[in-house]
Amino acid sequence: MSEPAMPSQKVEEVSYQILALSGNEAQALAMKQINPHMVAAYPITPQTEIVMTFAQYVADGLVETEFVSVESEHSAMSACIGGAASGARTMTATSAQGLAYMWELLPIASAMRLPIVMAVVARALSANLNIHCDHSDVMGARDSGWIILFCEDPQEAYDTLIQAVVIAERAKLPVMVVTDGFVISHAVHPVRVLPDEAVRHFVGAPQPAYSLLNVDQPITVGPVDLPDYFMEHRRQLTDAILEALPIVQQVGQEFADNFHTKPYGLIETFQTEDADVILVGMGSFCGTAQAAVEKVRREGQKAGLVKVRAFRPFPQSEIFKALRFAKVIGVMDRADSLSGTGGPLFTDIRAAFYDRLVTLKPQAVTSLVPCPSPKIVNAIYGLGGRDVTVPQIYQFIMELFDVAAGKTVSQTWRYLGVRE
Amino acid sequence: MIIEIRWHARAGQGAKTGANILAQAAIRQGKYAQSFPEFGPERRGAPVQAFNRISDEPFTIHSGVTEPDIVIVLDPKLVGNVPITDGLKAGGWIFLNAPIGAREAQERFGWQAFRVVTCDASGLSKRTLKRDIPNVPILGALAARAGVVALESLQTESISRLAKGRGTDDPVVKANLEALALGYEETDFADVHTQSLPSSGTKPPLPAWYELPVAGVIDRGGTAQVYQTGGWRLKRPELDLNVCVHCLMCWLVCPDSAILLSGARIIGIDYRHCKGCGLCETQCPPRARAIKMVEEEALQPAEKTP
Repeated sequence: MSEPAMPSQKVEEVSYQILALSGNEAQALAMKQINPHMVAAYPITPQTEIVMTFAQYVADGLVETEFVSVESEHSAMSACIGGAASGARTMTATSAQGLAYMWELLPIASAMRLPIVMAVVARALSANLNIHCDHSDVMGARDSGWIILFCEDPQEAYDTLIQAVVIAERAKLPVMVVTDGFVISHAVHPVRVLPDEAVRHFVGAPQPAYSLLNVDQPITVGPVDLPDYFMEHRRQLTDAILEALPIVQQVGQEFADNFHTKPYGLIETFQTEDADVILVGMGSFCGTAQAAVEKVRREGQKAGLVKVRAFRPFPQSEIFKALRFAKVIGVMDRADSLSGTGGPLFTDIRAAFYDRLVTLKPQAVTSLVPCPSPKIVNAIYGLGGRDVTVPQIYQFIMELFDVAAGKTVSQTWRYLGVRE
Repeated sequence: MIIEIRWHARAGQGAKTGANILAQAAIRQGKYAQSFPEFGPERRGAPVQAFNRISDEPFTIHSGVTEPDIVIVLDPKLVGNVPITDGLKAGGWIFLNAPIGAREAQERFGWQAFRVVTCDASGLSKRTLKRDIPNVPILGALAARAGVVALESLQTESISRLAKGRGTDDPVVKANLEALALGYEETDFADVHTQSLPSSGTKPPLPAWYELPVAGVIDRGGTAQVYQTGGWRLKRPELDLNVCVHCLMCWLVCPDSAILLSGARIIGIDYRHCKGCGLCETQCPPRARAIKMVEEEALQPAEKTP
């Protein structure tokens, strides 16, 4: 089902620029360079800056984009769906309640297989009213059939937003590119910026499968599906999500090859090969955690870190391979699923190990390869912008080493950094 | 033992209500029962189904009825258009609303493997209720022949439904009870003649998920032609070309593009797709009155069929 790989044409003499940009500025700049046909958006903190900056590009005639000012996020996503079904390359951005207000449209975008790209600047869902970062907004959209890519810093946000356009159009699925509100969106970092023509060459011209505006070939999209067909189309969608795994990987590879960046894949690992204790997280946490892991390593203990970049589709097999030899795994969730059993990333990783146990051939369990059975525990941290620091993470890793040494775990999840 | 019933009707004929009354009457009698409709295109005249399960013992099944013991057909014109005998076992019951004998129905439709009961429920309904609502008389027929529920339970149920705010002497209540009693009295029965089931024909299997167009996009226009909605029609538009002024108003408002044109002149009506909504009649200019809606012919006894 996936398209043949883009010809990997190396841009040999690319004049990169290093600019000091916030996450929002980097993503607005990426949007400018992508020059989509259409952007429909509504402002909401902490995302506002992206579409505000982009609207200025439109007003200044620096892009050819049709900017649709709508009265709500619900209308923003509705307009994007209409635009994408017409064959337009379509983008938007949102946060928190804005994403929640779009919720009704999200599964429509994915089920209609529309390659919409959306920058989500992650922010806590109300109540209580809070404008700061956590991932509860994204987790609300977890099962909507969108590809969800998490970024650690402004550089990843810039690079990933450009890749997202190609991923979306190749997978025929919408993509969310997630950055942490304020922590990344409003923090200025050095960002290696590509020339406009390099970005335009990389994203190429969209090749939509159909267009609602083609009057010579009238079509119907999203028609009524009664019980005799609905489930078949759902099955197609789950297949599309699975097919997106190699596409995310492949596009990351092409981007890295073209522009000599760091490798981009489904996950990123840091010193996991021999690690007894491994942390798993997403977003800006991972950079901070890396410093903590380095400190633990310097002190002679084997800690490691896995950064999950592709949260949907969930790279179960890659994550299992990176974690399987650990004694204790600490899964870091910046959202609580409020199920009473831990956060959403924890649920998925725990399931990855159980799935492997179930699908292993019986002889494999009993002979040379033992079934891996690390202890997997969960920390819920950083809700509503609560800061998470190197000493905190270091302390948590130390507690996980205690568990590795045999300390009993009375409950698999806990809140990290809460007053108690 | 659970008795399973499938109702075939057109939306508006009262299959859902009939199934509901039956279940309520059975529960009133101390039995365990379910009634549930099948929801599809919500449009008067469209073929619909409703279902019952009735048992002396409690049961927990919530799936559809696929192998009914009894099939009730409220519109005889559905026979041949919808799979009436699908899953019906040899010796199963068919209750048909038609003004013909049971033996004749058996022969006309190839139902010799089934026990057939005919009842002119539409005629009885028009006589008592002054409307064609065949569900009430057919329940009387069911109680008379299959004995799934007692007539008294149906009567009590009807009174409790209708008498609220009216009193039992109300003409509506009386007419319903009369329709029920007439249905109970005026039935015809034909027993099983053969054990061999009619061939239901092999339906081609529906495509697998990977064989379908991505996202169910319909990639060309005009596909509505395949869906012949003419079978939904209760009334048909009759067009008199001698008085038609070819103003094309009917063509403009027809939701099914069923007004046939040659150039800018009307030449006829596409009855394969006309659902009988009657918009053409209302839009036809008063001076022309070229289109009149007339009742579709009901099923006639063999000797009267031209």
